[in-house]
Amino acid sequence: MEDAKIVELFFSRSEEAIAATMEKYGAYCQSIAYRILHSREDAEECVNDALVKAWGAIPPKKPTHLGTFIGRITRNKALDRLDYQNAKKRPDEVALILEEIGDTIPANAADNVADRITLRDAINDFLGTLSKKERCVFLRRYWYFSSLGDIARDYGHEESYIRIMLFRTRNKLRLYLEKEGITL
Amino acid sequence: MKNKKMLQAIGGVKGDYIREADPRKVDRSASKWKKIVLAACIGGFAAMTALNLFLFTPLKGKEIDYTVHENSPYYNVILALKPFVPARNTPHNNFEKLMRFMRRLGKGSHILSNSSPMAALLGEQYIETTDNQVEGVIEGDLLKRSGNYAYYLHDGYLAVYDVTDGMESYDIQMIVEYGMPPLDTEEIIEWGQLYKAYERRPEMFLSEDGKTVTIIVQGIQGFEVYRVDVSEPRDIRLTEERWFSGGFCEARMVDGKLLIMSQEAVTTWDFDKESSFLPDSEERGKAKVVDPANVYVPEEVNQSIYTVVYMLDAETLECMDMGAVLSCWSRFYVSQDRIYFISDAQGEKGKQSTEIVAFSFEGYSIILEGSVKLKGWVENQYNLDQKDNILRVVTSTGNGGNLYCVNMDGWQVVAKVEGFGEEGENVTAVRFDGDTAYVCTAKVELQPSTSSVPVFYNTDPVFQFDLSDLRRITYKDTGVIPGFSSSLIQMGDGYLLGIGEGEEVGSLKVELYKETETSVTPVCSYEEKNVSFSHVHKDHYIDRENGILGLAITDGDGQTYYLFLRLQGETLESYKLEGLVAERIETARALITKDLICVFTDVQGNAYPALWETAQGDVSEEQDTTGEETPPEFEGETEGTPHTESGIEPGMEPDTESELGTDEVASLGDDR
Repeated sequence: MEDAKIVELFFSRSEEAIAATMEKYGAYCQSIAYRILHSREDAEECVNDALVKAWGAIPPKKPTHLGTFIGRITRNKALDRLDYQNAKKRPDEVALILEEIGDTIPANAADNVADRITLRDAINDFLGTLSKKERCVFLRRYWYFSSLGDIARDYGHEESYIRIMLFRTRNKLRLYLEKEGITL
Repeated sequence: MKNKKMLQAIGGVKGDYIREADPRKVDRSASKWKKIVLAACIGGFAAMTALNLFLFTPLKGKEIDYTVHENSPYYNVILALKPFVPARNTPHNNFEKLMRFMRRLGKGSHILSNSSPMAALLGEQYIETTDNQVEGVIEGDLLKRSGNYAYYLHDGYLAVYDVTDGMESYDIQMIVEYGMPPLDTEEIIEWGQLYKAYERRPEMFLSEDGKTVTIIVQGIQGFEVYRVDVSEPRDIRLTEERWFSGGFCEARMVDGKLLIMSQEAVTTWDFDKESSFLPDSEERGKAKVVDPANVYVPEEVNQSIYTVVYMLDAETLECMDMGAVLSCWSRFYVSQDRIYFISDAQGEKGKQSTEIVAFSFEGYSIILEGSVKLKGWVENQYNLDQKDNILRVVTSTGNGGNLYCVNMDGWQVVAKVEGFGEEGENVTAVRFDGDTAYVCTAKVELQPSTSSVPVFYNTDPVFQFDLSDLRRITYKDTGVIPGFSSSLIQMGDGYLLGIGEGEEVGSLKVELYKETETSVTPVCSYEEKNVSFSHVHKDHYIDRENGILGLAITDGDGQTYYLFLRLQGETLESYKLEGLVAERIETARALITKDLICVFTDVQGNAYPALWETAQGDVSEEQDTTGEETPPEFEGETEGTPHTESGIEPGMEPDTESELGTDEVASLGDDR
């Protein structure tokens, strides 16, 4: 079913909207959540929470790309849950990702909503300066939480190559943010 | 918390970027390609192994049964080739078989584009730049000219120059790449016995209407003929190309017919298939072999190589007819109605002979006419001349020269002069001019270690033969003078110019002779020592009308310049154009227009202000006819001092016959 049709179902408050979304994007959301949480059950719960949130958000929101919309909610839910689990267990891969990305962000940045919006826009602008491949690899790692091995396989490179590419992109991002006035 | 903030910020990136990176949409073609490449490598390796096994596994041979060809019109050719057939005739393996097949591919023509629609309207009239030996028989050369444009061929390029509008517009206009660059020594050796042909230069013709350039150039395994539409000189176009197997030798253009002389080796020995062992051309996809009546088989077949003449329609490049001699000969003389093939020296040293075979041509047919064998050997095309059905030939014997007159009806020697010149001398230059033959002889001692580098020149005369009455051939000579000529040029009014070397090895000597009733008198000379230049006649600039000679010279320091000599009365004025840059000076060519002296080399084209008024081509009508000289516009010097070595001043008659001339009655030919 097309996204527009599913969104119409949301608007008509038909429960078929949930079923259709689950059918079309369930696996996609599940994979996003699983890569962050590394627990099938937690991932399922995350996806369910995301669907509930989407049910509440549509309407009034009318997403053009339902997959991206629901995926973004799932990711946020998974990150919230990860934070909740922080003390208990954190998958090694995710810990590594958090460590990598943590060095990039200025310490005193994004303390309030305005700063967060500024940071988000800066990152969007920065991504626009990258090549498509650099951008995809970056987002595969830090949006989708893919392992280096998976990215390397998907893009036909060695892991070491992807690692170096990400290292350089992070450095570029840090310099970009500093240049934009988002300094440590 | 830094990492959480960052991940939250990243979570807010544009949806487009998120979708772009969606793992479900990853194009795995890169890794797929890796697998494909790997699979292709493995497959390629397997295929190569199989191909090698197929190509190089030895084939079983079979013996040739010559008796089955007894009824073939080419049976005499097959028998003549028999000594050259390798012990194992069939290909050793499929690779050899394939190569033989490939050699035969590509014959024929390819029309690349139609001529320009403007061709009928534009174009410039042809102006001759080559000093052709025979009137009406145009020789191919590196330089040709129409009214406003010069076409110069060098190292794979055809350059078009505007030569009429002063220095500013004098420039390369267009370049079209063609053919193969000259082969280097290793490649020449690799291609074996056709090496002589590969050393030949490309040749070019320009049509009479100045609209079409025809280029013949050697390539690998064959030579190509190109037609270039130059009716719009700033937009020249290659319109047709034709490939022939073998090695290109020389070409002539006679009355719209292009005659191409070449050599073609026999590489396959399948006597069941005529095109495999005979010269052929391909027309409309079909091989057309030489007519059996047009194949001459000499008594002494020196190699399994044919020397071939192709007659092409100059308009269409279609091969109309051909003739061949089964031997590797490399010298040719072409008259207005015959092509003469000249053999290399045959027989033992001291008893050498030369065989000359003639093919006549009329319309678009070639007919093998006959042959004659003469004592001695022939240096080049200028040793032959045809007049009134009489072929005149000058040969060298190692002990002077011989002159033969052969009646073409019956191929009989009807008059001859044998043994002129001194012991140890050879003929170095010949020029026929109507009923007169000029012959220079010299003794050249070669360095024993190289057998080709001259170390000493003797001195000798220039002979003048009167051939007006073959029953009574008379001759006179200049007497002993230093040096020798490698080229003789009749300048009119009884003057003869000899280009050659002086007393010293490695010098240039240009000498002017004048005919008198009793002798040939040296008038003046120009000489430079420690220089080198081309001895090939076609490489010289010759303007008889204005009495100008030009040639490229390299001095002892390796500096190259172009030397012009102008005949002024009985002196030679000299002008040097310094700073000439050329990889090979034999490629240098020159022409003189109303305003410019244009010199072309394989490296550059240069223009200089004109030194003299000339009657060149279309500008002749604009000449100042007052007879006043235009002073040279740059420094020159007059070096043509009167020749006084024999105590003779210009215009003086010789005072003793023994010193300056003899007058002898030639013996009549035995076969008269």
